[in-house]
Amino acid sequence: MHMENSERQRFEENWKSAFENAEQSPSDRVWWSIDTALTNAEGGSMRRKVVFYKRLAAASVVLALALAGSTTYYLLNEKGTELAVANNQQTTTADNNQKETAAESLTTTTRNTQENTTGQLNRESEVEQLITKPDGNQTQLQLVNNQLALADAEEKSNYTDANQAVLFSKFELNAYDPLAQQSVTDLHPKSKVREVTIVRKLPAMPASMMADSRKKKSTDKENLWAAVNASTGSYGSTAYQDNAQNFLMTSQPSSFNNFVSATSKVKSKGSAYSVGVNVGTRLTERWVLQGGVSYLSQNLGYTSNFAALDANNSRMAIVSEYTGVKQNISLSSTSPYDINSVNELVSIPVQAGYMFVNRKFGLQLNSGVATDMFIRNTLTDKSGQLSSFSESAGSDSPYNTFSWTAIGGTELSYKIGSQYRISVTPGFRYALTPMLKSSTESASPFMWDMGFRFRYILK
Amino acid sequence: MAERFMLNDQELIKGCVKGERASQEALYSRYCRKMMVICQRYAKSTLEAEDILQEGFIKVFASIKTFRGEARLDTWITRIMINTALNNQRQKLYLLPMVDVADARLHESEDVSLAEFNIKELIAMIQSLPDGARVVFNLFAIEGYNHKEIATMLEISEGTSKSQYSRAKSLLKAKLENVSAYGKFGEAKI
Repeated sequence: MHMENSERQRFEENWKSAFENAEQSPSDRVWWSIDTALTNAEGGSMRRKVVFYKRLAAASVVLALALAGSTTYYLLNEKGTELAVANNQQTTTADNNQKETAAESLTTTTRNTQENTTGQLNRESEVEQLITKPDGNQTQLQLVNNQLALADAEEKSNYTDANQAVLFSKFELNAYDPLAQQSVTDLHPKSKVREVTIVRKLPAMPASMMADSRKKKSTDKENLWAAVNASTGSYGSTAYQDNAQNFLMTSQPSSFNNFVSATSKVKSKGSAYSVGVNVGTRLTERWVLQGGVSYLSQNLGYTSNFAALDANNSRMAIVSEYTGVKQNISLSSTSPYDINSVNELVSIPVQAGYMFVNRKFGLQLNSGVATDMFIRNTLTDKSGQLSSFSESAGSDSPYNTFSWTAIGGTELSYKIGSQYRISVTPGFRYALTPMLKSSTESASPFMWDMGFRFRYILK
Repeated sequence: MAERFMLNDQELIKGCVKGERASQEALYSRYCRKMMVICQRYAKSTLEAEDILQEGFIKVFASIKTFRGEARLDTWITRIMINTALNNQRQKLYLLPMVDVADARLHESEDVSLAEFNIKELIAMIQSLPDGARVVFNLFAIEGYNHKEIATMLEISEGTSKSQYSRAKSLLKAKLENVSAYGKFGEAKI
């Protein structure tokens, strides 16, 4: 045994010593290949950097386009709203006889439509005539639509017998589709569901590949991240709500010293934008928790027919929300003017997210709540004739200092390299508590937005 | 360029960390011949050995910033070469899994000296061994790993490692005796 061991050791020692200082020259192609590989690796690194900056530039362009699109949409919408308001005002001052004439002619036209076999054509031609009338306006079009709706309702009333309608539909079905009378099993009487055992042979896989498959995916490393985000969106009012209040005008001249109706109308559409930072962490494989802080600005348009007076009797833009909380405010009647109302808030959102897809492309659904801290409301006369009015949070403000908002949305992301992820974040905000102290809430609790997020993966 | 070849290991490492091609070439030139022998022992042919050498040196340059100087540079490079060779061989070993060789016996015969063989002949003998036996022989006899360590490295049983080594040893002794008895042979057929 001892001899065998020593013989064994001698055998190994011989081989070991034989190779101890052994050297063999490789061919020159080895270094050339290494040199090429190193050059390619350096080039690849440079290319990756270039690709990253290209993608960053592309993302910036997309963000800029989204912002420009949203702004354009908002501006056009606002213009359209203003035009609609102007038309309505014109309509109220227009000649009522003209309206009545148009209504009478429409009624006659509708009667003719019912009686005439070619009524459809007549009606269309009448509508066209009305639309193409040089003095036609919004009111005429609305009347046309109303009359057409009435005519349609009358036609529908001819089919009051529900059974007849059902019979008619059955007749049609039987006449054109005889297969409808048969059940699906009748059509395939002999078909049976057979149990089939699927045997799937797995191909042999080298262990090295199996070992690779056991490796954690690169996305598993996303456990903590920080992000900057920006979003823009729109929110609406409760559609032309009149915040009218009667109060005593105490301004000069004395002709206003009586009770008049001061009214401020809210525009139907407002816009909002926010910028912020947030951090997120992964709780489980699929669930994440995100929180942060963001600055939120909400813009809403008003039309007001009164102004506030400061100590120097200079007139400031104001809306009726303030008349309830500012009892000692001096007011003055004016011709209607447009006001831009800007609410500034600091929002602290906390969201839970569920990652449906967590690969190079990511799809995440977020939901949570935000505490909104009101900072300031600024009212600006769009024409610039009146000075701006600004009121911070507090007892004099018609706005609550704190309010709660439910937030939710989707995050569609794309991972860049190992450290970055960019996302678009369409989402919504729903006010759980009113922003205004008074019950007359002028803004809809819903707000839609589209955001952009740039995430840096910390670990 | 010649000055680069006069630099010590530390200076070469610094240059390689910076990505200086001249330093990388100098480091390669200094160690490629020694590493070539290691690669040849694990490979079936010279061409395959050169592929392992190339892949190994690319790994060396990619990870040289992690070299802390706790071991000698040539020891560190040797370890990378062996790992590269094992990765290369492991795929083959799993496609042709090693099994226990039941009839493997230690060849009981007089010791044959290796002194009469040059390094090319010895490499050719090792390259003529079956894949599994060749890898286990290198790891056990030359690198000095025990069978338990080899079993872990190759994800095989300890018994398989022992039987593969016995087979390698038996085959090598037979070759040595054969050559001693009938004269030397040239490069082993691949």
